[in-house]
Amino acid sequence: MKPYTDDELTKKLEALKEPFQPTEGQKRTMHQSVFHGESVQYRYRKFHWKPAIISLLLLVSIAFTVTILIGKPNSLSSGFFAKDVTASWEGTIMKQQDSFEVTNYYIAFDGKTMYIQNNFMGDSFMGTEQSESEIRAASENYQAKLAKMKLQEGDYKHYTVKKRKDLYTITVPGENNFSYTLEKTAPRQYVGEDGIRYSVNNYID
Amino acid sequence: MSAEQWFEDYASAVYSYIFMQVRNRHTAEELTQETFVKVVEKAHQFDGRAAVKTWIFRIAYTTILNHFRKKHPLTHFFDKDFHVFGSHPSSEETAELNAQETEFYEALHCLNKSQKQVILLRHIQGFSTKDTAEILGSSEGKVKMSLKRALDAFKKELEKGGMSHETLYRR
Repeated sequence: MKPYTDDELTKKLEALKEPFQPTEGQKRTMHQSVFHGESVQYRYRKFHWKPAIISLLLLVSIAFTVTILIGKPNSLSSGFFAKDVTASWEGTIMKQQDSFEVTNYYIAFDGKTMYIQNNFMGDSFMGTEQSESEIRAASENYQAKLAKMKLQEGDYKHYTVKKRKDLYTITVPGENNFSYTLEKTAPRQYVGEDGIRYSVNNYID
Repeated sequence: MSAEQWFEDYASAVYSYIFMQVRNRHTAEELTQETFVKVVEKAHQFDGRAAVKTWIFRIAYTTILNHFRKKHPLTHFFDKDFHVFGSHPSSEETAELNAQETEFYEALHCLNKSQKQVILLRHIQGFSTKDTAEILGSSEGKVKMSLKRALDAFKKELEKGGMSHETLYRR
């Protein structure tokens, strides 16, 4: 098929203007409006629902997609880009580094189960010279504080670990479901979302 | 020369320029009126550096731009008419067109807004490259470049629609 030359196109395009000229009546009406102030209607704009709805749907879908892809800024595990590293955590033991008020965690990942153990020895177990009532009060205080901790002792099956940048989120499904996020601060050091620091026995992804 | 004389001389050209973009007679009338109301208001500011027609078309161009910004902010932002808003000319637009002109008109609306503008001003309204640049607030070099790309794209669109050199002379 032979393409048009520019001259051919120019001639055809020049002629295209003619059918779009206003009629005499239209021109008269516009003249009246401009020079005699009669019914200048250009300030009125009809509202069109279709483009408005389409724009709204487009914005909502963009926002939804962005939310899915990026996730919450500080909960990166939920994002699309989080990488599942559960397999590489197999055989890992995490040990709480510094003493915390009521905990001294050991967390072990073995097979499909995560074991959380709290080896904390508080005042109530130390056999000090405290009275019975003081020991009971200390025990109650300990239990109350412990109940507020994010990690509770137990065996949790089918856990997953997802990584995004330096953040690792452990998710436990089922009845006692919870998630716990750790940040890697050194090759074998992590800080939990509650500020507890851990060291691990090996290098993990 | 008075604003009324300017209206007599250029209202039809301004109307056709606007109509080919907004694609609705009623809106084209409103925007032509709006353009000439501004012309009347700003007549004393016209300093004669450009031709009157160029100056009036500059006002028409900004008026259309504002219209699209208000009406279709998204499509204006993307510099593209999305087909969901209707890509085919309405019967109102094509009533006076023959089949070949309709093909040309459809092809014109497949171009992006800046390509459409240079073709409208340079080839349909017959402005020089310099005047086209003044109306669009652009440089002559940029207009030349845009025009070349616009014509290439326009030809491709015509070919997509089955139009050829032979068809052109079969009328």
